[in-house]
Amino acid sequence: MEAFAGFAIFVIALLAFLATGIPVAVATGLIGVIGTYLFVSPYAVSQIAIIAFSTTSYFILTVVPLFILMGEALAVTGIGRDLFRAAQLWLQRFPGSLAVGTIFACTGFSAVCGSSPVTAATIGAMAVPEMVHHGYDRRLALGVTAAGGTLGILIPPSIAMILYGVITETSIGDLFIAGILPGIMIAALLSLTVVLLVLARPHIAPRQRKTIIWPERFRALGAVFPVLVLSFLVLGSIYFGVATPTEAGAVGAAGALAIAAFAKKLTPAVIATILGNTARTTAMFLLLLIGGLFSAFMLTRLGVPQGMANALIGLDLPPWLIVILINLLLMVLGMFMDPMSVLVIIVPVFFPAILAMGYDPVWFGVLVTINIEIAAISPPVGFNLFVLKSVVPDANLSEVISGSLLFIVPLAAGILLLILFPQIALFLPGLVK
Amino acid sequence: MQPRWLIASTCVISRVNRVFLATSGIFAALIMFVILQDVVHRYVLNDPSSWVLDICSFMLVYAFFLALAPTLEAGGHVSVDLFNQMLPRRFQGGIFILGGLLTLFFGVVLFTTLLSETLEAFADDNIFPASTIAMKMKYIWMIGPIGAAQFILTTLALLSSRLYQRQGR
Repeated sequence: MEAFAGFAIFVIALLAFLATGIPVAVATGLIGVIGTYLFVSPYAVSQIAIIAFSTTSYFILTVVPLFILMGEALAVTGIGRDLFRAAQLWLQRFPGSLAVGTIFACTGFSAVCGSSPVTAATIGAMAVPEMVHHGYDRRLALGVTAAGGTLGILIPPSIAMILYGVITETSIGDLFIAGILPGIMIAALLSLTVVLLVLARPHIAPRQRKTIIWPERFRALGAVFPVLVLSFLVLGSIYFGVATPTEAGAVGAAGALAIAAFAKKLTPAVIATILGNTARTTAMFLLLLIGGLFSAFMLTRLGVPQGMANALIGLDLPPWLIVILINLLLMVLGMFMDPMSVLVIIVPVFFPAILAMGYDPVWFGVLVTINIEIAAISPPVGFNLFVLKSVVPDANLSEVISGSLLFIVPLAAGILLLILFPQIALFLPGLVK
Repeated sequence: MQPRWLIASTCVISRVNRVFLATSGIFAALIMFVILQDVVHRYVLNDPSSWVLDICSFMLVYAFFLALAPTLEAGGHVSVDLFNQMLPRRFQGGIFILGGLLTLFFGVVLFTTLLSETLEAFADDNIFPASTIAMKMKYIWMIGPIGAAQFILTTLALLSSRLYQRQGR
């Protein structure tokens, strides 16, 4: 019970610090500093510097700026628009074709971008106005884009999976491969939700009457061909073990810059913006990791994760129920924190329990990633909700929130399916081994 | 109205942040080019470069610490403003200042611990163990306290601007 009390105090202290509006990384770092000073040893506070140096000089983490650079470069190419157009033309016969097309465009963009907000912003900026223009219900248009954007952190390359891999020392390559099938499953579940919604209430997504000829479809596919090749190169090289994630990231980033240059989008100002955004996001990500690792260091020295693992195993509950309870906790925390913060705070605490119960760390990584996808669209602090509000000028937040809430259901269904059938995540990594 | 010295120092801090951010971005691009050349050497010329791993790790240290303060200045470190918004308006400014002081405290702890480690590296004058290139640790670690010091200055600039804004009202 001491471990639970320790964890509860940690969460309360964290929420108190967050209430002052300080960055999450600073809040976790401060809790680490205070907790280490009071309960471990004042001398052990210097661990924060050691963690900062060792984390930032960890070669595996060079993959972070590379995949961020790749996403930032592709975001300026207009590829989001091309993906959306191709999906729209190919899926015209589906009920709610533009909304389903948005999910497919998000899926395609996610294969070259590891960030959920970047995916939501890139696709949302043109998909939402297009859907609204064609008479779609505004809440459906905003909700489907916010939910589709979350695929950015599940479909590899994924920044969240890199974070999970570093925290738990799980192979990032395995995590990337494991994310492919669940990513496709979530995209299918989101699309199914749209189709069912539109069948039940056809007025929310008027059917497109325009006749589309096949050459037009193939032309649209041609426009997204470079991205398809790039995503195949990046994911294929990791999947077949030809290249490490870092090498794939470098090739992907260079390919993305080449596509942007070919599309004549690379002006000096755009290059500066791309590199500036890459630097800022990398710093945000690494500071979050340092703060999280330092608070995890303090909790570990106090025996909280180990105590939690023992207490959870000691409960007379089946392991699957414990996993569901952990997921529920993740969902609740996800309502108040951004996805990455939830990951750095929760994973170190519960990971020993997951291992002790005999679950696969790769499977848990995918499960946690889907869970933090829910966090990205859960009010009141779902990141994608605010991103969409900022890129769609006339959107109001209540529309974005009410549109997104329904899409939590397919994401939660995805979690349940993954708990019932772990092979959805583990099949592809198993094939590679 | 902010005093001139504050406007001038805020301006200098912002300029330094711009330079730091640009340099950090260049390091990110360099990491890409270095790994890319290794991919070519490894898979095309069958001649992998042994120094890539180390040089990229060192560049990541620089990229991170240089971008630390500019990210703070741009509001790029994720935070939760929900709780603050729920407070009555008259308390919001006070809470922001408390948050600024906490960030400052964190920056000072980070700076002093990083400085202590860096001074130790200067005293020892050691090279990185198990590294393929004979790089002295002090040359890499020294960016840590520099980045943290800029983080402190940026926090101070943001905090004092806010304090003067409050006084102005």
